[in-house]
Amino acid sequence: MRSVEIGVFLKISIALLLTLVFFPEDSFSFAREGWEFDSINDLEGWQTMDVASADIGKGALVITSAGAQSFRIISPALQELPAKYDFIWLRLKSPDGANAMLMQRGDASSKVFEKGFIIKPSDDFKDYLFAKDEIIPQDLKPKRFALDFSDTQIVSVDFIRFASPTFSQMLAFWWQGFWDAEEINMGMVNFIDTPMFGPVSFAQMLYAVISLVVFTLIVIALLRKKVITRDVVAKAVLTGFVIAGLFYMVRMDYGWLKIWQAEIGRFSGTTIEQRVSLLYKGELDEFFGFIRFIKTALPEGSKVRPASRRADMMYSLLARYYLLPVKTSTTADYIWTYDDPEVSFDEQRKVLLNKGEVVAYPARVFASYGSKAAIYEVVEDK
Amino acid sequence: MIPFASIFLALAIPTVTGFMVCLLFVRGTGFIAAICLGYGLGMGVLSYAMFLMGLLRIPYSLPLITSFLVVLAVVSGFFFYRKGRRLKEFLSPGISADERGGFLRVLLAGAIVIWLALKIVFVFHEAGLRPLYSWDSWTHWAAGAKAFFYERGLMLDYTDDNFMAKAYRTSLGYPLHTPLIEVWIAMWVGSFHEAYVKLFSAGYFVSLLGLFFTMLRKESSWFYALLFTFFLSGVPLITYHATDANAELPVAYYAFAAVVMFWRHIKTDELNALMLSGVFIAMAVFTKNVALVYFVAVGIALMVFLLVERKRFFLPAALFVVSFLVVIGPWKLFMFFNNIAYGAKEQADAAGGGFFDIKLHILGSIVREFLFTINFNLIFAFWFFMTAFFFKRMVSSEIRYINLVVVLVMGMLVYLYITPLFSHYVITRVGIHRHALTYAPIVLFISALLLKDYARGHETKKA
Repeated sequence: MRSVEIGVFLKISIALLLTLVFFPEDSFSFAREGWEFDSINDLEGWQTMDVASADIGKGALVITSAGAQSFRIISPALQELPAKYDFIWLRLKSPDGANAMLMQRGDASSKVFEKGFIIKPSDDFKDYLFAKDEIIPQDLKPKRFALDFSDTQIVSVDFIRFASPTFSQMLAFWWQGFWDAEEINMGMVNFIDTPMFGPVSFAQMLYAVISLVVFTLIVIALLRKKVITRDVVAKAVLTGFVIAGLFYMVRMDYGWLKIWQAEIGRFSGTTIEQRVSLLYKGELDEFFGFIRFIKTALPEGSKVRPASRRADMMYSLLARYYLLPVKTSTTADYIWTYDDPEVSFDEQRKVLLNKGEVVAYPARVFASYGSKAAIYEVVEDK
Repeated sequence: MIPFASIFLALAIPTVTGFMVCLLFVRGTGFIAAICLGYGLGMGVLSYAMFLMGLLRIPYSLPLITSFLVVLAVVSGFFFYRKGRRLKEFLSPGISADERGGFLRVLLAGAIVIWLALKIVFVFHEAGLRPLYSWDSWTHWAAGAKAFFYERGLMLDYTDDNFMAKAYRTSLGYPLHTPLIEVWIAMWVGSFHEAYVKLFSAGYFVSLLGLFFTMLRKESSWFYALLFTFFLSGVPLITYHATDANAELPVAYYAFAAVVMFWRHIKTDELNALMLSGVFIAMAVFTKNVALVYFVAVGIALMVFLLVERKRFFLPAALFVVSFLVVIGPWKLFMFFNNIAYGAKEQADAAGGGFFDIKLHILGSIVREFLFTINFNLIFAFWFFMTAFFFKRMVSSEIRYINLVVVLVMGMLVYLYITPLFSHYVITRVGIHRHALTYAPIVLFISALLLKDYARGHETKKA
């Protein structure tokens, strides 16, 4: 392909990219109303559920969980809303990430409309935009809304605004979202989530790039040679694939760079045991403590088995692995149980039961670990 | 303190052994290709030796296994020199294509090399940093590996309820390559380190890229080969698997190595290359059962090649099959005599429906996964375009035979996807891309060959 054609195409592409990239960061300056959470006054009328604290700090509302499965903030009654708004614009962050839900209700008697979303783990605020019509029917004016958070201990809310962006401002928002890097998750072994540019997937974008390149080069060829040969089409398509492929490499390897950064930040300077704990966000620390307890408490050479018979139980599978070199065996005399309400021990009859079925008899408590874990031992019947 | 020396030796010793064994099979591959082939070959020899040791109830000991690998390397080297061969002759890279390159090309190449180097540093660092994480990596492979490590053997006590680490493995029918490599690394490190045992995957990643580059380099310019290697390195699913401890990346390596050895046989008539192809497929099957489709596909493509090109038929076909059976035979016989089923059988039984219970509506999902997700860059779309647009060129060249391998592999898997046996792999997106990972390098290689063929023809026309 001739260098002049490459040059023309590159110039067009750079111009397009520049118009997308260089938007002012705060592109939604038209936003009419909302809560900026810059001062304590912004909290007036807000209610909370299962929240340990909700304070204004560094220009944001910092909410910490009281320890329940989820916690919630509920807005004041929305007496007056902007006459026209198309989006609810949230700016949030959570260091460990969170599952979140935006809920809206028309009035006290009407249905609650919900939209779930994921707050990616980050120390930086990120924008989340929800189309008004996406959540609540057009004819229903929301009277109150709430934000529910779970799988996290802390969330910071920079602001909640009602916004009506122009199309170019939406493009800027989508472009910023397109570059949001994924965090390593359990699903990644099977597939990688496709980055989205608003409603358009990255795959569709790549095909659009190829189509644009092909169109441009064919037009150039037509203008120069006034004839389209099979060769011209082949070169145009191949060039399109190379350019789209390079765009793909830049985006996806940028994602790996961000992941690398996050991984170094998360795991550097930690022991392997600490890293295992961090993998599960500290939620299994007590369980791993119990595993270590089993290893030290049992006589050397002993084998164990779980009281629960469900082999697919998460704890059973993890225990088998992390207990090694203490072996798991169906004929073991030591039986462990952890946080399993279906397992019970009848002290009088010396029977260990799982959902009413006998697991071991006669048995005794060999060792206890807090209130929800224990090791039982099968004793000889005398 | 990271035990760099131990980890290096754990990866290097099998590589050197594999390199020396490779000397006996193929000539003129070039040093990098020989090392990359040596890595996979050496790891395969290692896991197989450990399997045989386990069968013979010989406890796993580091000095013993290391001695075996060193002796094998020395013996291979002895036979190499005894045959009168010289290392220089073996390592001579063969004919190279157009070498022209201006300043811009060198600059771009430099940027690509730096990019690739960073990617390699990333996969090694991440593999050694993050503990075993994905469900399959520890339930299918690492749990059994850890049990084997502590028992220093395969736990073949028939009276024990934990025969072959039954309590730790999803299925006894899952092959042993990945767990045994983890045991090897753990023995060098001194403990079953949750992160270090995964480093073999990073080795497969680098070896796959190196092999891809060197094999394409033999057909084209260094820049062309580098560019396509760069695109292969950017496949995110391959990158992720290079930091984890699953079986798909080793299978991708072995499948690619088998196909390029088959390609080498097509180009040079070397029987040794064909034998290596059979050996690599056997190693793939010892890594994951689904790799059996490669034996069928390469076998059929080989038969077609021999018949169409009117080559001698019996000897090459027999060598390919025998090489495969000699390597995989002991494992399959062990499974047979111990009544061990394939891991997928239980899943298939649970799925309901049979081999002929076809659900065509799944085809739409399959097309969507291949063309409208970004797991493999545009590799598949590019391949579809290349094979369609240059169809006549493809069917009139030798590329058709390795293309047939991919078509057969994809055809067999797609057929299974549209039956209840494998349909969940598409519906839940759990398996389709992991299977595709195993043939994506081959697909890109074929596309690169077709493109080079087209460009060469174009230059000839111009001249």
